[in-house]
Amino acid sequence: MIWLRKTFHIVGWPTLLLVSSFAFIAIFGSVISPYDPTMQNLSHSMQSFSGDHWLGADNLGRDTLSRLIAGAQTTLLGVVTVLLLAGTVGMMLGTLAGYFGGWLDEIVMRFCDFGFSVPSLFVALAFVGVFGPSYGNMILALSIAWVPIYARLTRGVVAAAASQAYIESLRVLGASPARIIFRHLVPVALGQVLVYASADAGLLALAIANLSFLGLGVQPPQAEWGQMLVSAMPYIQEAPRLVILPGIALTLLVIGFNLLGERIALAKNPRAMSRRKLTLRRAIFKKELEA
Amino acid sequence: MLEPILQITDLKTHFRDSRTGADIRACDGVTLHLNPGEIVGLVGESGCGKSTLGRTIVGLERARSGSIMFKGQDVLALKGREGAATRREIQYIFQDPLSSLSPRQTVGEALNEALIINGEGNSAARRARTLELLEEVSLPSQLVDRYAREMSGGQRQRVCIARALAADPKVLVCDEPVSSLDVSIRAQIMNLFLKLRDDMGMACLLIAHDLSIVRLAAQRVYVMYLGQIMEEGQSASLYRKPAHPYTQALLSAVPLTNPDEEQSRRRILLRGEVPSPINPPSGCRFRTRCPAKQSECETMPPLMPFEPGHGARCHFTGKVDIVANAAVP
Repeated sequence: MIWLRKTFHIVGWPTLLLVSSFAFIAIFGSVISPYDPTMQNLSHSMQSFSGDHWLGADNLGRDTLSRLIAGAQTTLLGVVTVLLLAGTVGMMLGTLAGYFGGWLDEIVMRFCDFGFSVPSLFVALAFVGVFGPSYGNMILALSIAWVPIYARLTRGVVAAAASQAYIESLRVLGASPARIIFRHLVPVALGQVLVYASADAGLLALAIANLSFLGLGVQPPQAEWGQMLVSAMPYIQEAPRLVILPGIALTLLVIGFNLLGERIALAKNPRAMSRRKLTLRRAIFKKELEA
Repeated sequence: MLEPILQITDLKTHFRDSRTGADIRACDGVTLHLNPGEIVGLVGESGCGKSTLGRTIVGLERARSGSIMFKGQDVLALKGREGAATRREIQYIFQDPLSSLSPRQTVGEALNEALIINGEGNSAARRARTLELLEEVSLPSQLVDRYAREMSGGQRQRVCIARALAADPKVLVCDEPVSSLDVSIRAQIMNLFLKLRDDMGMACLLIAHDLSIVRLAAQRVYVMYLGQIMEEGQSASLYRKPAHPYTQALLSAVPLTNPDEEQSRRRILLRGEVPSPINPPSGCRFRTRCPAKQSECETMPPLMPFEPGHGARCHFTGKVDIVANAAVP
């Protein structure tokens, strides 16, 4: 149970609570959801908070709570898939570039430069524009747009590790590149990539909502927060909760991911104290001395 | 005369300066050999190319030209799986043992991996061999579960040596193996090298800048300056009667243990910096700093014999003694 306490210590309970409750909702969504999120019941149309619909219902009488839960599923599944795809491909490219260097490194890095010079949302827009809007296409598009980030991150870590004496001694021992890469370099890079990915997840959740808001991602009737926002727009005066609730859900998720990423990054790499904090600490120290 | 186990001939390793594209001649035409069961010293100041030479021998740097003959084959031309098997018999010991051990592996795991790479398929045999290796470097077997950071510098270096031994090497290239260790530990590690030579007939190229360490262990010594061998000879002969002005200057810088002798010791202070290996001086490499420079020095001197098995790359080998002319400080 030590690892549990360690995780708790590093991440802190508010972040843990936030992120794990979203994860819980996403995993057990179909069990805890009170209604089918796509089921229409026009007699309950625009119903406000009530015993039947705790968070009300939308213009088609669909239960908002159920749709929020389904939205969490859609978003988190999207985030995880994109991170897995982009992370795997990016790590593969970055590891090869970092370990072998030379022309391979040049090609991969110029490809990354190209990726960085165009805003990632823009790349995703272009992809969806060509292949048509759908959930799958959106995930593919975001993965492509996110690959350069992970390729460059991995390449840096791997190139630094590859020049370490312990990797060189493995080469002298006659270890194959595959052994060096998979047993020694990838685990090092994986740690860094996971830290980065936990902070990146918030950004991705926003990107998914963005694309769906623009009608380029999740298509109705599938529930997704950005899509819920846009379909609630005509009723913003009549029933502001239809806009506010998905907004709150998205904000909480992004805050959760950002906190998680920041806490993990800080634990791995403690930041120098800011001047303000330092003065504060000195003042406290002085007071203690005087007392 | 013994057949040398390692014969390096006219080896050149150049780097390309990434900004100017100029050649950095780190190692520029080195010829040296190692006999079986012999510890050979390679000394020189920082940046003279001695580490580059060592790294080229084990394939960590790519040679521009020349040959490295080992067991009748040119190591530089070896390819593929069989090439790797031959290359493996030349092992390398790094200066900093902490960074040459993975922070994520225990001693046992590191040795186990070295044995797997060496083709030992049976895990029980590997476990037994791991304990044997630890014993060969005089480490207690309890250390198998330790990580590199949990051991002392001397223990770490012993683990590195044990890992190199896992490949059953015939030649060890040791790059400053003791300079990051406490003085009290250095002699122990040096004695370990002597023991390996006596027990297994290991040949050892000992790269160092510390002349006294080399004197303790090496039978023969090469002196390197700016990518070239300046002097080579039997340890006893070279330390007693250095023939090259550069060696004379190096040796005159070593403090003596006897305080009376130390008082009257003549020292030579070389003027100027080591020239850049991008654009080394024509002729004798040392002529820009040599106090005994003549007009002949503008042509490259060959290796001139001095005593049996002892020669220097100087036109005035046997005729020059810059220490005798130096002032007592």
